[in-house]
Amino acid sequence: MELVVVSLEEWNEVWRRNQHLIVGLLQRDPGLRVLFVEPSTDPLHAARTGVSPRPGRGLRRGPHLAGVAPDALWLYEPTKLLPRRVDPDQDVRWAKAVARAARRSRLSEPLLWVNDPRGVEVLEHTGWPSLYDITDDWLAADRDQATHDRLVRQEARLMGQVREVVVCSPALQRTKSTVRPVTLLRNAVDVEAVRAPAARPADLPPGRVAVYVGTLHGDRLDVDLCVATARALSGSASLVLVGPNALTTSQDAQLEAAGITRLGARDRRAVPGYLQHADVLLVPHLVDDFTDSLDPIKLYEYRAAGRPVVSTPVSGFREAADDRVRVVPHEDFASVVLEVAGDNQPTAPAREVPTWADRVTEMARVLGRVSQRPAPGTPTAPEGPGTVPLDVRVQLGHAAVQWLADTHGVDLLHIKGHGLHPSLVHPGRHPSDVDVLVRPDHLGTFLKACRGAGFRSTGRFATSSAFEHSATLVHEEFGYLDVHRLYPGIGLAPEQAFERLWAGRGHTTIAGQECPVPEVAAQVAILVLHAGRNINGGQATRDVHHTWHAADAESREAVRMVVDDLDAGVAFAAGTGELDSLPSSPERDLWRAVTRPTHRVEEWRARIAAAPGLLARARLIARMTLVNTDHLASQLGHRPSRREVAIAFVDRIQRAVHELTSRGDRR
Amino acid sequence: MTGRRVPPNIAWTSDDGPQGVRVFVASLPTGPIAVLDGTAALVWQELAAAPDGPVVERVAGATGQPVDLIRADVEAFLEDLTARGMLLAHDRD
Repeated sequence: MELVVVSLEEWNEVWRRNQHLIVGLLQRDPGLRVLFVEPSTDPLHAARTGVSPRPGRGLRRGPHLAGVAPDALWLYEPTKLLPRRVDPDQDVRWAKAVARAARRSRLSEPLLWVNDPRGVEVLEHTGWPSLYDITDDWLAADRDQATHDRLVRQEARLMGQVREVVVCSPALQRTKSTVRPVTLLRNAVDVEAVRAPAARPADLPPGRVAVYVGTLHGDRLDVDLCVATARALSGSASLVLVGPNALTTSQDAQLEAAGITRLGARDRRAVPGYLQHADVLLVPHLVDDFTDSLDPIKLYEYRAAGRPVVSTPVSGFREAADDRVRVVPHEDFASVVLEVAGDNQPTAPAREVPTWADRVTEMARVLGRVSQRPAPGTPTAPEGPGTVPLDVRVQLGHAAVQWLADTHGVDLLHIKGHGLHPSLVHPGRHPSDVDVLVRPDHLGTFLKACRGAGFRSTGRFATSSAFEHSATLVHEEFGYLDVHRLYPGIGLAPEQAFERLWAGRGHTTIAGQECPVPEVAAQVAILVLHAGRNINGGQATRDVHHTWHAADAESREAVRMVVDDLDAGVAFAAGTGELDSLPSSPERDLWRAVTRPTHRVEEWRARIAAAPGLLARARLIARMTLVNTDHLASQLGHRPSRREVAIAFVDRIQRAVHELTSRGDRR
Repeated sequence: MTGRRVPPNIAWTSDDGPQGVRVFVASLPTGPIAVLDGTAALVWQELAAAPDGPVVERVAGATGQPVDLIRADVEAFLEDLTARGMLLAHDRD
């Protein structure tokens, strides 16, 4: 199946409904290909409003996602050059550009998933079978008359032409079902990720905190109520807002003047830390027809987190009121927040909360109806006879790599993926690539052999990560291969570390080939070290729970011995969430920094501090502002031109300057 | 008499999805990956489980078909796989 999704939001590290649903569908159906159309950038509007203007990023490959085939997801971000009143034909040109992007992504007969009403232009230009997913009632939002009229016309055309209409809230179900039948498909949460214990984020202010998690948008957030609440809390607790900031300059200034901390967008995997360490979670939303149309994702996130909640009487929370969720009128909000913040309430046990997996199943059914074929991911899912599941590609990739090693005299160990001992694999774990650790002396021979077999490089050691540890290759048949020359967090010299792991190796058979793997205790150590480089909440976190937190004392002792042998104590502590218990050191600061990917300046500072010797530091400083051309190539889907590198170079400097200034950096 | 087995440069695995059991066979180290389903997957699995064994008889037993009825088709299929390098033929006493 093929999908073109016209989204109201860009694809970034803040996951919303669209990302959860699309990634779930991609993981279930290896044959699914998706083009995700993001809102156009508007450089002129940005310049007028004081935001740094930038052109759209065009068509590019989506991020590497666990359990998703390479090239299954493409992103397209166009550029809006002129205001609509000056250029009234731009919507038609935009629709043609989307159709071209679909062809360039090799989609021939896609379904169209319209979330932004503008998508009706694509529907009418292409005639693709379509569904309209309504997530906000923009007709009820406060917009200028021309915008309102355009939205009304677009929605009316959509309601008349799409094959299915999906809505996210009971309020939308009531209003839209007067026009035609609709399907209610509510939001949900990744319960496991929200409940997995996370360290207190370092940027949360000390003391008690009242936390709001969500996009700061003037259509929803009651700015005056936030200001009043911050004043009531003064001296007792801090009000912290976590999420992308879409407020006007004057609204933001109001929050600043009231001493309210705005942390900005946070990676979805970092969000559980803010939820879990809040003394009280807030919903200071406006109550009107627009907010009544929403089904706030935070309703599910807050309930899963188990922390006390104080909310204005908005849709969703109004119906969920209980002893943990206090729904209070505007005038009582600040005083109730002050009272609850001082209560020291314990975290409540997990409740029954709908998960995104449930919603993916529901959306798969809708797509099945739209395509008039069985849906992806359902038991009757169609799969072309020639389709090769990602899991199979990865197994055969392990076998191909081992064949190359055997025929070229290369020593390597299969780490993670299908090399894992079955007892370390938890339900739902999806290997998406092959990872190998190669004897350092054999690296050149191995990479040459890989190139000869059709693997091509997509990332070099120097640009792979803060640790410069791996090179990424890709093969048309077998997908991604990560070649490690060292493993981040292991203090032993790479040759010695490999020898230690090689000496204790075992074997496992993958697709008929006998593959060397580290001993089971070393496999656990590697999984935990890997988690130390990843923000809390994803597969790596579940690996740690399954293989370390749930392990018996004897198994843990065996792992500890391997960790000691490898001199990997600090990184291991990062993986188990015990980093703060260690004394301060450059290595500890580096590990803390790499788990906060939004702060690149801090990561670079930590990398430089941890670099061994002056020469290594000087090289790092020289590289700070260079563009990672491998990463850029992956985003663009082709090797970048000199002009594209130059644009990225400027963007990188601007981003670093913004981080320094926005964080009030005085170091 | 000719026997057949999977050569060392062939990797294979199987899955049991909505389409039933399928076998995926790759020539190492470059591919391509071939997909066998239905009876083709059954023949492969019977041969891989017992190289040099009586493949035709085992497939007949698994499908409930008379040996004589399927022998020509199964042997032609094995011959085709051998010609593609996915199986290795050797003399069997």
